[in-house]
Amino acid sequence: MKATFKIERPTLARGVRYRWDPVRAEHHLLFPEGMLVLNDTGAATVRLCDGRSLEEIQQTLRLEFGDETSAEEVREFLHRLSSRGLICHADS
Amino acid sequence: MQTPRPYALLAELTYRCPLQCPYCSNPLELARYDQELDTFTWQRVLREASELGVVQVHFSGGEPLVRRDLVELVATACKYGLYSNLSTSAMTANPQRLTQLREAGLDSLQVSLLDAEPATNNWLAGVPSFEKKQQAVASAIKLGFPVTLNVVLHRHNLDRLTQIIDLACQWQVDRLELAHVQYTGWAFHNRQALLPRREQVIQATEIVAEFRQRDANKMQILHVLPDYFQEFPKACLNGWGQRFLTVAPDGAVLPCQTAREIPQLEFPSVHDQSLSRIWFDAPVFQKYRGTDWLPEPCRSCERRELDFGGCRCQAFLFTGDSGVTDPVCLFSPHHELVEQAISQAHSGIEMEFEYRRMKK
Ligand code: SF4
Ligand code: SF4
Repeated sequence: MKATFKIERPTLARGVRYRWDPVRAEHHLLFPEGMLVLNDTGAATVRLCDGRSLEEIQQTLRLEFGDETSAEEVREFLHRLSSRGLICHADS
Repeated sequence: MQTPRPYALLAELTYRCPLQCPYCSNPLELARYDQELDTFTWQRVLREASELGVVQVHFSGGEPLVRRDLVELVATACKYGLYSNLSTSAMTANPQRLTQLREAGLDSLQVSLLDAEPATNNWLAGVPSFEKKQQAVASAIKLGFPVTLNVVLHRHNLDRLTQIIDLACQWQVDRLELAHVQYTGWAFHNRQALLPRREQVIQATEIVAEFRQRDANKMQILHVLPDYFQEFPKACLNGWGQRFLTVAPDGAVLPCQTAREIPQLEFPSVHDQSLSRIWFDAPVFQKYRGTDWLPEPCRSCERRELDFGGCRCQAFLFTGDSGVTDPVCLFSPHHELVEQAISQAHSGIEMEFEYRRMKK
């Protein structure tokens, strides 16, 4: 599915929390009815969801991870989180 | 295969509850387990759970708010970095108590509702409770809690699903969880009076799909399908002893909250051993872990890694043997028992249900 949803200034939705799990050495995204295990890029992405713009997030990730994370991938990932109600959109 | 560590702990703080829902998953013999763990022991359990790898704790019951030390326990969970969720009937969830819970670090709140219609809600709960639930949801939202409204679906409320969804939108909750009754505990006892008609289930699925099409960004709906009406069973808990564990009010450690249904199983207690010892070594956790124990037809079935043969409690309730394929499965040699249960429940004579009560 192509992303049609507007993602401008994503923030984590109410009750959604990032956490580093020291026991398993994993990144977790926790929310009321469950959790996701994230990879390094995913974790870095959700931690940047603080109301800054999508472009800023994409740019920061490119600086950190190089070209392997395409802007489109980041967008798709955020879109998936958004369709599960895990991120919402500040102002906009 | 290496034994994975659990992600979630269901902390059943008490079996006491002001409501009397006829589908309650608590055991029938509630009074047998009235020796509740004290605060200190629960705090130890929370610490051991976090060391074992648990990241989420669900405070549940019964009604966890009847425990005077709930705020303290939430604070402890928070101290260990656990994500905490409270499932409540909201009967005693006044704004002061909710504020204290918020300050103690409670992450999310799940409030049960029995029906969109106040009179039916109160009839099903056995107690007037609709208004209290409404007030609790309003104050929780005001305090900034993410709120999930949880409605258990069955014959008596399925026809009002549209109203239920409308009400949840109106109350502005973040999520609506629609879970069909799981027929264990009191629900199994009352199965004849609760089982829906197949058409009701189909219609419900359509209503949810329609809402998701139209209003997806208004509210999240989680829809847990009723397994009696499916072809294959649920991957109960993602597999026995794989991700979840339950500590019951008296300190018994259960692979699943309804495992007490199976009288042949012996459950270790937090009084005697550490949670980690129990998780990795207790025979009851080993018994149905993984796929090696699976009987036929599961053993040679492609889906065995998907559903692990289904629910052990359901296998026991239908057949008296917790080690067989879940009868919900089309391939189970006992599958006709499920069909029978459904048709019997609609044989023309309306059954009354029995309210959940503490019998001494
Ligand atoms: S299902 Fe009903 S009776 Fe059972 S614990 Fe929950 S609110 Fe209480
Ligand atoms: S036979 Fe067993 S593994 Fe196969 S679908 Fe049925 S329950 Fe699942």
